[in-house]
Amino acid sequence: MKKHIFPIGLVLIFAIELAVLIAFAIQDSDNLQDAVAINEAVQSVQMDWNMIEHHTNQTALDYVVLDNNGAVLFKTKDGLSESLNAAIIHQDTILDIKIAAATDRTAAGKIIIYSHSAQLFQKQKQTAVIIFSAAIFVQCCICICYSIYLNHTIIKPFSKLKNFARRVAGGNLDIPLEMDRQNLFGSFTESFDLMRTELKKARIAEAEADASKKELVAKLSHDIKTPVASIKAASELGNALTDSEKLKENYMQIIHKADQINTLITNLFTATLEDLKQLSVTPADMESTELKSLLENSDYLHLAAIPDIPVCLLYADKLRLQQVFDNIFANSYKYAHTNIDLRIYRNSTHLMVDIEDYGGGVNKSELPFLKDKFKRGSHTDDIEGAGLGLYISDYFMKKMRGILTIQNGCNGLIATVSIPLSGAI
Amino acid sequence: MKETLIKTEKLSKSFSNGGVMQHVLKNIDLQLYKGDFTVIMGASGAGKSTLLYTLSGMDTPSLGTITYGGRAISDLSPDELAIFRRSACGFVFQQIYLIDGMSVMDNILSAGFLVSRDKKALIRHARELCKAVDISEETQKKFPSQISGGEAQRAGIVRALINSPEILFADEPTGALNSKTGLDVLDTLTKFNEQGQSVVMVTHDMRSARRGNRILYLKDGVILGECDLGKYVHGHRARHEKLSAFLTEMGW
Repeated sequence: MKKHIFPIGLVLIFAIELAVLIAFAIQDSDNLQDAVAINEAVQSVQMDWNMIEHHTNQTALDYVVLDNNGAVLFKTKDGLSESLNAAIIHQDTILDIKIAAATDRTAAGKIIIYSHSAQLFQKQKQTAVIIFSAAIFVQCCICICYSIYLNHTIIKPFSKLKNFARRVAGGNLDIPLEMDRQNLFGSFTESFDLMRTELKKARIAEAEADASKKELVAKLSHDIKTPVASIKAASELGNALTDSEKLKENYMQIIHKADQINTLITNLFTATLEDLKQLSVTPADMESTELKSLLENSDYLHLAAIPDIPVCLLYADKLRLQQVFDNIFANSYKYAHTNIDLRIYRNSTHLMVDIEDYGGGVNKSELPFLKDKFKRGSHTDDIEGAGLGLYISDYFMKKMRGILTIQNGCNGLIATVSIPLSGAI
Repeated sequence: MKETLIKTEKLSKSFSNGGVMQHVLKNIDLQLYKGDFTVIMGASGAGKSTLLYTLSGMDTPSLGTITYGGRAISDLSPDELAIFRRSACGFVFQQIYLIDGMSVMDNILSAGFLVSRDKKALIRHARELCKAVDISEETQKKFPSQISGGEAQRAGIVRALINSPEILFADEPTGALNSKTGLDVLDTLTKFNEQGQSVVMVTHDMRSARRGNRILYLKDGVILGECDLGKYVHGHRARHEKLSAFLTEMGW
């Protein structure tokens, strides 16, 4: 019913307008003179003819009495037609006054009964204008309300969905899709968020698998390196003890191959650390004012007030910068869940965005390692996370020739995102 | 200590081309000083002319501020900006844009009438300027089609100076002239600069650039470097070598 209230309101107003129009169309013309009152006025004038100056109007009509020369003998008020010509133009009723004393009953004068049809028509016109103006005003209000309603229920959710899809495409799965189940697409969009949580789970599982693979590789490499070292040591000993040139050559061959195996194992171990470097970062010029929407997108719980942003041209990858902010805000939500202070300022080469929460910060000894791969703070055990967010954010900022610094502030952790100014570096 | 005429802070200018933003000037922090002959150099498309037009109020910046004598011209309305341009700036372009149907003197005076109604004073000033740039009284009465390119450009300079602007902006003033007439125009600009006129000139011609005492090199919308050449001295070899070395360093 709530969804149909606006169309119903509009139809109702149209119906009222139509009804008023029909009422006007079928309304009887009410400008006919009252014949009885006219007769009464004529009679009273005829009776008082000889003392017309003492005549009093006993009807609701307005009239003027003229003699045969057109001179005004009596009038009920000013502003009436006071000549036959004026009376004809105004469509007034003109009647003869006949006196009983006269033998031939010829007219002694004229009575002009004033017609109120013009005032009546004017009044009707005003009523019609007022009714239609009110109807149009109400219709406009309904249309505006309906537009706001449509914006709120359709356009805004789709806009959120667009930003959400962009973030998911960029690999950021931390920020949920804010949706009202009551709106038109609530249940439809909920499935998108479900997809995000599933993707996130898959990513965490993948990260865990990666981590365990790394551990396996590290363990295997250690396991392999140990016997290889023994083989090498035994070969070196054999080489030292034997006098046979042929055997020495064979031992050297074994030592050389053991070294080769050692190098290959080391390469295998380091290769797993390099795989994240596949993420592409393509910085371009962007106006600093665009940061506002990036910060608003990231701060979906509205815990921060965005200050004035110094105007300048930045050099950054908007998508990656959004991921950096998303990650910092998501971390603050997860570990501190307090209000967030934002400070934005500029020097000659960078625009700095300080993001500080009130969570008390982290142990000083952990600060240098927070941006390392798979490293997390000591009080994060019961909160899900892969320990990759800050590592990736730091990687993105370096690729943009920017800097990400993490430090303890007065209230909590301060993440400072330093974005390079275009042309400055 | 030089007096600052124009100061910019994080000046940026962007254009939308088919929905794609092109950032032509990027975060330019610059000060132009009174009495300087500043030359802006750079490759084609570096943003030289855009910088000149933005500094002079012919165009508005997309971001950042421009202050002239402590007043932010980037915040002025179009009408206020027009008044600022008429009274404080003179312009000399590659194309001279003299009005064909008016004599040389009338062309000069038409610019003066935009600011002053004192006809006698204007004519007196115009004649002084014409004399200074070697435009004879006979030439003053001629129409643009009857005079040479060099004379037309010198008339253009007089027209730019008729309102005694604080700063003269010149965009490739010798670009459409041959070598000899170009030299005359440069001599004219140098002469006015020696008398205290501040000049900002855009050029990609090294011979023109030598006239400046301060050279700015623009690349991809950013001031890559600047060179202080000192006062212009005709035929000074060390000056020429310094400029050549600077431009080589800038990758010109």
